[in-house]
Amino acid sequence: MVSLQNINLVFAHKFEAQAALDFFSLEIVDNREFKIYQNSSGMQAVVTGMGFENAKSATAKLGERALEIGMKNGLNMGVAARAWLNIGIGGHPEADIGSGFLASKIIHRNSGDTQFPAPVLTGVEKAAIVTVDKPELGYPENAVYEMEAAGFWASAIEYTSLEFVQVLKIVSDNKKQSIDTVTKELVVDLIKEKLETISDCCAQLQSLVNEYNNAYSLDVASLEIIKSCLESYHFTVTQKIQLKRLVQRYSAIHLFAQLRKIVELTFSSSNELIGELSKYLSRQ
Amino acid sequence: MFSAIYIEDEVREHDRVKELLERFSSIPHIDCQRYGEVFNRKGQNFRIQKKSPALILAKKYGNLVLPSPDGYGFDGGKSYYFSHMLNCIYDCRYCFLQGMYRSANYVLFVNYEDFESQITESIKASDGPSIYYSGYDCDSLAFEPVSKFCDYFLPVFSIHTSAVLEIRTKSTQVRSLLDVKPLPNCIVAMSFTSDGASLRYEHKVPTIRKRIEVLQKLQQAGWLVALRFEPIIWDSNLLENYHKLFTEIFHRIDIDFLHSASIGEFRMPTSFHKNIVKLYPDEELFAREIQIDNGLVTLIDKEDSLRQLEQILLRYIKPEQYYRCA
Ligand code: SF4
Repeated sequence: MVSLQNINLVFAHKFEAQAALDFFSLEIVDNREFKIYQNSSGMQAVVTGMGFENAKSATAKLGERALEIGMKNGLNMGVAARAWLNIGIGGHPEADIGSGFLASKIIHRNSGDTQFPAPVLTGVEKAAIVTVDKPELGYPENAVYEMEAAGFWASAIEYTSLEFVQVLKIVSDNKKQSIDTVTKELVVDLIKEKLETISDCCAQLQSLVNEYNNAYSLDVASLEIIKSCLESYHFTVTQKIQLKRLVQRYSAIHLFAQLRKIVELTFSSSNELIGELSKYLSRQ
Repeated sequence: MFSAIYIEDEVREHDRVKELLERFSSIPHIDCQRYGEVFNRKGQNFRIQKKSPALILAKKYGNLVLPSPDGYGFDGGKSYYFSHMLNCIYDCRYCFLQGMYRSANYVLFVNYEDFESQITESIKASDGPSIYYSGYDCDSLAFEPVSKFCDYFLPVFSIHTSAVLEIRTKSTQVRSLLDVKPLPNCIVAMSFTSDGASLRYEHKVPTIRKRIEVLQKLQQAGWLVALRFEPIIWDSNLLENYHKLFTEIFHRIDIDFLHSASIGEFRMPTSFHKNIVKLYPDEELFAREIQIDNGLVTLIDKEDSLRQLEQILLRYIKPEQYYRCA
């Protein structure tokens, strides 16, 4: 299986999570406010509890955790982006039990807010998702009814680019087979049957996130140069940003050897170093 | 072709929309109230979206015909531009649209009839000739198979002969032009950069050879063509590269029937440049030294290459055929 190190999964209920936690070998790492899971490659998951507010808080909690871990690993020079996938069950008027849908839009019934996830994933049908406060028994629109997607979205987009926030819902009830027939065994089975789809969505997201991270994060050589500068001089936050951009520019213009030469010289301050790096570029 | 089609409520029943939805029935159709809900949101990444853009069908309100920026085109009367579309199917790394919009999705404003009535009003209000540029926020021809822009707007200009329409493009989608009688007041202006720059920066754009072939076909069919050499991006062999390009073009194009040729340097508003630097921090073009003048970013031309380039171009064309984009 491809490494899905930058994926965060969000489930409302432990029965929705069970099959995926096993499949991705996710182990519990935090059992306090919300159950948070992680595997050896870095994939993470959270079980939020039911409803908009729980989904919003737990997603934020996982977002903060991922941010902290990223910060520890990376010199505060920008944290690797992660993708988010909310997986759960929902009711749909017509669709067969077990059908999977990616959200084309998320309507929060209570507030009227509508959000549009970017259609970057392929291979799964798209549908509108309506987040409601209480189970919807009448299925008035051609949409999937559930209780968490809008809360999940509200927090997840605070932590990443919106192309990387997606919602996958599996139909558990419809007009023919009411919500009363939904048992915990059925929920586990529905998710289990869709593991291949889930895995494929995660792989597509990971590949997009890889591209993004490759474009926006510094390579090892650049990070080493920055590290040595930070160890030698004191930098303000603004100066750190300037240094990062200068290193990116040297790298983009293929002047890395010259960059190394300059940073090996001795300067009286970070300001002087930044000045020299800028001056050299302006002479090019 | 598109990852999804978003449809503004307002245009749901528009014939142009119905036809497109029928034609692209296998692509997800998603309703929205206003296109801005999808297009103008914060927190989007143009670069990632460019990999699988969606089409948004919308209605444009307000002033649909605007005075063109100073120095945008040639002399010949008051000039205006109109944008029936936002964004482009090509992916030129130097394109200012990347810095102008948050989203890479294509917006097609389907209310052509409103554009037509404002163009007509503007023509009637002008005492003398007027020029209308399309393809300011997009490449009009590139999207022709979907937008049917020419099908609609050429007949509009055929009845207003005092007005000139310039279609600025890099596209070879000229079937809709070749299928009809040429309009003496319509100019197809093809943009070029040097071969090296094109290979490096103009992703998904037809090759220079194909663009020249198409210009030749258009000329032979009786269409007025023009050449737009922009943006000029300095490199060590700039003059040599453009010399080659000019030779290639003027070997095939009939200069006597060339409407005009222009040169324009790389230039964009500072805020767009800032956005693009964030989008492409790894791109050599945006790591270069820049100068800022009056809120506009340009690259530094240490050797006065622009003037030298003009001298070379003027060996091929008459001075009255030339203008520099300010
Ligand atoms: S063809 Fe023009 S509008 Fe299209 S991407 Fe290139 S520069 Fe931008």
